[in-house]
Amino acid sequence: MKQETLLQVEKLNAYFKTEDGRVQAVKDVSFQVKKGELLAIVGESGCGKSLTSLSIMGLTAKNCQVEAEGIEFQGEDLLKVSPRRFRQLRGKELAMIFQEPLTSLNPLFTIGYQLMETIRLHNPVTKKQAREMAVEVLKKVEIPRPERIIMEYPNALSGGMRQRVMIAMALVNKPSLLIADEPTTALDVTIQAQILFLMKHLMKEYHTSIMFITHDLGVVAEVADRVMVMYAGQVVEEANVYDLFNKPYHPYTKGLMDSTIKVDQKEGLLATISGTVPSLAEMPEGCRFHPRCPLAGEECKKACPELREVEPGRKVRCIHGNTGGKENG
Amino acid sequence: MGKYLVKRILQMIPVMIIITMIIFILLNVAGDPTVNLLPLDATEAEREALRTAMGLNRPLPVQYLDFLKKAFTGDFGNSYRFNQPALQLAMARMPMSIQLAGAALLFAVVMAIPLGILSAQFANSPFDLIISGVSVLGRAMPSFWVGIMLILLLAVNFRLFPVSGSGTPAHLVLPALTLSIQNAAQIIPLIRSNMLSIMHEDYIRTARSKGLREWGVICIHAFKNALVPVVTIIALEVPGLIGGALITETVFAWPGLGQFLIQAIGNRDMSVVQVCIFLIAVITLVANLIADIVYCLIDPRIRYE
Amino acid sequence: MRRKSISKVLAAVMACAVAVSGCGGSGQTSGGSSAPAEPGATGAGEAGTAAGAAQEGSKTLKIGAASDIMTLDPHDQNQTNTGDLFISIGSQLFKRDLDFQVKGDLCTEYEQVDDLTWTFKIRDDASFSNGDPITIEDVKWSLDRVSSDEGLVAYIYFKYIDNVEIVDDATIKVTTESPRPDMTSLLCMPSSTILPSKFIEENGMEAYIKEPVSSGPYLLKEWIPDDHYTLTPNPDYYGEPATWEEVVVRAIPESSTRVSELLTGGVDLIYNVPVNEWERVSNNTDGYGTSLVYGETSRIMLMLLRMTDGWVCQDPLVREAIECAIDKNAICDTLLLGAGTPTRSRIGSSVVGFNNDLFGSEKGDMYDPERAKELLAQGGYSEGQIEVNMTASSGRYLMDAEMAQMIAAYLEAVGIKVNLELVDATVLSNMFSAKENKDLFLIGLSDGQYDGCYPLAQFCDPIRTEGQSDYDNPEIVKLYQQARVEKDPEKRAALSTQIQSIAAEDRPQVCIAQMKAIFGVSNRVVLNPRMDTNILPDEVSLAK
Repeated sequence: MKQETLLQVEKLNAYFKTEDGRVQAVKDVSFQVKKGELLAIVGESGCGKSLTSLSIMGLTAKNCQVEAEGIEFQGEDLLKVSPRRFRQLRGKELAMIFQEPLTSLNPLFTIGYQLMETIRLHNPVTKKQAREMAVEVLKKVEIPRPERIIMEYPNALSGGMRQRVMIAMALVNKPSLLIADEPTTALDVTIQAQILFLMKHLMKEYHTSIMFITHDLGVVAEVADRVMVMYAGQVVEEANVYDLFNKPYHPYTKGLMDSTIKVDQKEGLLATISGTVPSLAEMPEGCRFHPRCPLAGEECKKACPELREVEPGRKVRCIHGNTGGKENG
Repeated sequence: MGKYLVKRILQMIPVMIIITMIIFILLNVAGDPTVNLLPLDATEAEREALRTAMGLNRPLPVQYLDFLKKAFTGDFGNSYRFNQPALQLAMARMPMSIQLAGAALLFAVVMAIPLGILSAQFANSPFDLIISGVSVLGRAMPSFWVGIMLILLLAVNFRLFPVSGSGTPAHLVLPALTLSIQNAAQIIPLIRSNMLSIMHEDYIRTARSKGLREWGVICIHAFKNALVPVVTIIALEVPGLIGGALITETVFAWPGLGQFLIQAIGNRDMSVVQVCIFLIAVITLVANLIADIVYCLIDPRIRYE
Repeated sequence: MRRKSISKVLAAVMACAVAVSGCGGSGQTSGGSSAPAEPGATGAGEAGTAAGAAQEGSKTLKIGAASDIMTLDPHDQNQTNTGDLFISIGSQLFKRDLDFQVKGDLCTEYEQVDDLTWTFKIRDDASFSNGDPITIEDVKWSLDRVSSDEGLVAYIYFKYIDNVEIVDDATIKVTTESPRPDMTSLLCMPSSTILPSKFIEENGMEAYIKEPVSSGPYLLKEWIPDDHYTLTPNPDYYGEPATWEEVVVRAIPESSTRVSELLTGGVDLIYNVPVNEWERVSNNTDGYGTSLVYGETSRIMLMLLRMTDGWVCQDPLVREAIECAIDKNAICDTLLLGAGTPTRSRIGSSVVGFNNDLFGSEKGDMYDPERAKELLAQGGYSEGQIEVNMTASSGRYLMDAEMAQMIAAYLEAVGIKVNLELVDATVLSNMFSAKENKDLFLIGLSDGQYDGCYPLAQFCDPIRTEGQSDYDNPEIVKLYQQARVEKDPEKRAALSTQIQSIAAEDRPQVCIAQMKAIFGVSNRVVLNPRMDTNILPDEVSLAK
């Protein structure tokens, strides 16, 4: 069954204007999200994954410049739509939830107000109807006694509850695409599991695709259909989740997986990836990962490899192609 | 909350008593009312006679306790000048002071809020720099100078408003404007900096992600948060506008509480001075209390136990 | 929910503020208004309608005063400003006319029976505005009150009255403790206003103060304290009818505001125009235009000298040197810009007993710095040896601080070192009454009664001089005691003149200048200034 493409991003670049000039944070990022799937974007802090999602939503800071060959969403190029149309899409077809539930809700407005705000922005309903819809969606995200919660302020809710509210706010208008930027990072592990489960469940109910950003491979394993790995502003690997975990091709991906502690690990020292992530202003020549790569050779310093489709459904940005890794146990 | 209120109100009482003691001592140290009441060449014997008749020769503690006792019943003594109860006279001036304070506050808020928001929106633009400069000027210019300049410009040169006095809304404009300029100059940078920091908050990003228009984001989500410290500042300005507006009242011959107090000080009219300062102290304490309550009402994160 | 209630509260507060300001009415008074103020009826400062069409020939006179009246009890004040009111709304036994002559008001005839006794006859057609006639009982009651109640401010002027006895329906006999030849001057004072005793005994003094019963040419229509008072003609007045339909006296403490009101036609007349505004007022041609009007006053700027043993000014040579060192003409012309006339006497030019030989640019000034230096050398003082402490106020009198500085410079120029101390007006008053003046003390003294004897006391009466100037001249004291009891006004004047000549040579004080009053007047009206600087509405007339 060929899935319909919901979002097609072609060569996305993002730059920051700083005192030292223009700095590139995202370089030539291309990918797609298909209808009904959950695409996970993995990478360390600073790899550009959040910025990619903000660029798609049109929520980047004033000093950030976004360029791309195209960002096509449901047939519309988001780079070329009018601001008014973009606002219509945002919150309705395109929704986003963020990492910090504790600060993502306005402390001076009630939960009800903030929910109803998004409902009434995109639906011609009365206040009463909006209120009913709000209560409904709170039930869906499994918040107890929603009629009372409607009148509460955010500070009355725990982090997990607030994230549920954020999810409710994002999903109430039944968006086609939900971008979730590390939604569980700030929550503790038990709550995390609940939220992930909820999200997968609601995905099906609302027919929403999710672009899920995280740095936690465990979460990726839990929820993702497909995975995209980013490093230093570029996509370095793309595969479906099973293939990726089974046999990572890119040395960075392999390094990430090796660094994760496994239950049956016996060796004393933890595996690490040597070196540090390069700063945006001082990108290495050639392959951006080569200073830290165990497989690096002379050619790696010369030119930055292209992102190549080495197998159907698998892309790697490495000249060592599919020889980079070995089978994982 | 109710308990908190009661506690605060009870705390006001010892503060008021200390204030009255200080006023009393200062007034008695400051000088002899008979100097102003009698001609310069009155003899010492004549002054002594007047002082005795006024009860000023009793020992200070006796005078003070007498005053305190009567004060509890609302009797602050009679004004020397008017021969009428000082409290009533002072209260009769309050409506004029409240009018002026209310108008000044209104002008200040109407000026400051849009300018503050716009300065933040266009931060570091020429507009913002101009507004910042004007704010500094506004804080630096003394009120009597502003008042006199406004009179010269708008009343004498351009005949747009009456020079001084009271009686019509037009009379209120220049004095209220004079007072409001300093207030606005303080509020504008506050709103601006609050707005600037708030615009980086996560919930602003959330609001935008819902598809809200930028002005909706600014005026609804950001502004309410920026407002909280501003509201408390405004509440704290009120006592200054009522009791401390005496310079503006003098320049504009506005018959408010401040002018009344100044006249009484010049005349060493003790009862009136005491009651005026007492009233101003009460207003200040109440304004502080209201500021705390408003803060608590607006921001649900604040709770007083 | 909360947000809504906050908005409601804020909206309510805003609405209140707007409503209150929209009401427009000046605050209610709890003291001294006979009718509640109506918005806009105050007649003061309508927006935009400056001197011009709206006031064409208008019979309303608007005066801008520097301070409001003190009280509505005439016996409890002694201020010029407040006194004006009682001359307009009250009756006294005598009043001064424009030429400053004492004329009978309530009193038709009087006689000084002997040194201590006077009789006064009053008219029979005078009444109060509440209908009660002015009776001899009212006169007795009022004089008794002001001469026996020690708590009244005016008591010190009238305490010399020993007894007031009713002789018949129209006559009283007044006896004094000591001879008071200036009795008629005394009874001109507004603080001797005759009050309605029947009304006050029935309703209390407080009721009178709330609604003063008038007997003068005008009625007090309303008084908004620290704002203004309004007068309207008294239809039952026994004398010349009032010339204005309405008189409004506004209290405007800030001098530049007062001038602005004059320039815009908000008021027709102001007193005491500050120096820096003189040009503005004279050059104004807006509307009717405005001008400066000068009037004489009895205020003399003088320097008290401490002649006490051991002090520098004990030496008459030093005192004379000080007077010769000062160029009074320069002070009057360049500093005061003509608002003062050099003088060597404490007595002003319109006062009984005025000594013409001590007044004016020639006779009032002794400027001769060479002579000053000679005198000092004669006394054996080397240059810079004499050091004096000088005290003066700043802002109390016209150019007082500047005058002090000029004087100090003149003294320095002849070799006298001066330590100048400028103090606040109240401090100056305190120092004066406490007799804490040092070597030189610059002060402005005037004369409430315009009868030469009263101010003479300041340097002739040992009670006064002891500890202040310590001037002790038995001859002058004797002359003064004579003058005080001299019944014949001409003889009294002659004695006063003589005393002044002696004092001018002895120099317990060095008089600098007799000050002029400076009025700012709209050309719509004509003002003839009185020497007592009282502004009486009926002496102001519309310009032809």
